[in-house]
Amino acid sequence: MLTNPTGSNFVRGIISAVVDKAGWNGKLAYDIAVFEQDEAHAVHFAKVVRPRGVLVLNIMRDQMDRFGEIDTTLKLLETLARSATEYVVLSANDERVSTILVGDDVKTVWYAHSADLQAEFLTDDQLYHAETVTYALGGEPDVLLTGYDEASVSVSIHGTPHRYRYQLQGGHNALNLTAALTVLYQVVPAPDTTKLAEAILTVEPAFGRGEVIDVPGGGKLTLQLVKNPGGFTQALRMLDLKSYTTIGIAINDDYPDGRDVSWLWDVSFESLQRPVLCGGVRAADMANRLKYDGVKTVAAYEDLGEYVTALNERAATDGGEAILFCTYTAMLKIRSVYLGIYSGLGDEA
Amino acid sequence: MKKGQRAKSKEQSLQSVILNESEESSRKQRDPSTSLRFAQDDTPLTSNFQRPATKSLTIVHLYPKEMNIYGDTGNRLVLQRRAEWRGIEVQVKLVGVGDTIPDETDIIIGGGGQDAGQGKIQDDLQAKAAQLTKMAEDDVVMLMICGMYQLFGRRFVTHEGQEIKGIGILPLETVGGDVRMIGNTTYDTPFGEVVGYENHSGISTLDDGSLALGRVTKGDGNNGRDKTEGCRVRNVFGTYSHGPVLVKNPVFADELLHLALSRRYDDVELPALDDHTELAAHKTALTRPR
Repeated sequence: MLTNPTGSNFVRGIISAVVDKAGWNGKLAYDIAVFEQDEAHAVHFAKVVRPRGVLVLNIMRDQMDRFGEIDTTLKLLETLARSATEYVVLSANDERVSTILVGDDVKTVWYAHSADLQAEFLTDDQLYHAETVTYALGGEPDVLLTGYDEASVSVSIHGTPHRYRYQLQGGHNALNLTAALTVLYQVVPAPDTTKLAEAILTVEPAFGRGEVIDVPGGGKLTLQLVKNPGGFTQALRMLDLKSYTTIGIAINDDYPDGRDVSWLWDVSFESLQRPVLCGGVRAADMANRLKYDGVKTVAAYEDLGEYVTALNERAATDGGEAILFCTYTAMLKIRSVYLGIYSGLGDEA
Repeated sequence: MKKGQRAKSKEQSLQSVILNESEESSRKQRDPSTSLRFAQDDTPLTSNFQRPATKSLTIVHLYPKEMNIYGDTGNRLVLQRRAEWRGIEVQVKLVGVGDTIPDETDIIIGGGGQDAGQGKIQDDLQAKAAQLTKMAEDDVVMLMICGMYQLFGRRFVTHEGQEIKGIGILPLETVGGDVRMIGNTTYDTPFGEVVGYENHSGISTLDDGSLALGRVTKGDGNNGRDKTEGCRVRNVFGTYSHGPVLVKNPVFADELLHLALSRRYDDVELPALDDHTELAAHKTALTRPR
């Protein structure tokens, strides 16, 4: 299977991955390619390479400085879905995704979470109106997420319950796995369930999606990408599943992060129990946001190199595990600082 | 204070938001005084402000469900907290389609939304137009952002030529443009330089002789032509600025609170707050590219 592990989900990132994996004759020795793509770039990519299947997870207010409106994003994703030649896999719970219509020659397949998990998976509209949280099911799901905890995920596949052990954390990863299983059953209609369970257990957190890094002093740091209010709200639930002694938030405002940091005010931080170490170009914005939710900031560092040093010190002092929520370019920088340390390039004392 | 001292040794970092903390104070506390401890030193600020609440404010958020996609809800939180930190009791009312605006309203805020959102509230806004006009004449404070700003004008003619009727409290008209005006923006106002983030395709033109909120020093403002940004009539303010606009412009936020309280009470004095984090965020915004 060919994938693009770099996290660069524009067309150029996918081309890089393809070129990297191609043989001397330009051929790819793979049966299937799976690419995560940016919504705007995917539309162009799919014009050139029509996919057999398209999976649409959710539509959240995200990068409004690029798309202007959430409904613009929906239109892009609908165009993308219509480029599929065999099937589209859609979230039955998302009020926008479930309106996507494709041609009669293409099969629509649904995945969903169960009604009792509704509070964990608020859709974009629901995030802003807790009073109107209702469970929506736009279609009969092939795979239904029925529960998850720190070490396992429970799903119902075509009505049969399964429980898989896995190494990922957080509801978003559990729901992503549900979606991935739905796609898998389209590609391989009758997979070997033992092998499937083994495979699920080997899945490691992707680039910054709950990825765990060793920090100097023997501690562990979980890196969690945040890029929109829905994702951030969901990611903060990781703090309910596990106790982290050090909490960091790093916000940049480069193009891939979103130039407009207004979205931080659409996330509630009231549940944070500990003071936060803020970093990134918009560290002061983050500290200011936390202030209005009554959450203290330990310190704020614009320079991410200094920030990492402070985070390491803080983690060593606090003991226990650290978690860092960061926007995309902040994560790239922070990862490179950590990886630099371990390749002997760092200048950390 | 060992940790605090270590943090303060980082000369390059944002000194203004470096804080002391202890395990005890790290426990979540929600009374307003805790937030006031968000000061550079650990001096308890509570004693100054724990007078019995003698003043109160009612803040209405208009159409929070339909007009909310650019984070403008933060304006509500900022007004609420900055009033509460001064011992003022705040009532927040969410007023949606079909709901009534309470008569005792002191401040009304509205945010930016999608075209679809504007469509959904159009009729209801017309139904509320007379009351809102009356309130505006009565000097109720209003802050309307982006989409709601446009609808507080006389009309909005979309790019496709469809006309959406406004309520005409602000002397302006808007037409849909070809290009979206997006980016960091700054403008000079009577409350100092304001920083914001604009994201609109509507081109707004103020009537001759009307008062803009500010003069653009970076960005497009109302229309990209005449350097005006926003509009003000009595205590009604309209602007294209997200950010949300009040979070990094505490002087503007306090001006709105002062205007609202002065309508209701004599000798209104707003004690100064520690605005280190607000001003640090303001300063950062000034350095960011368009």
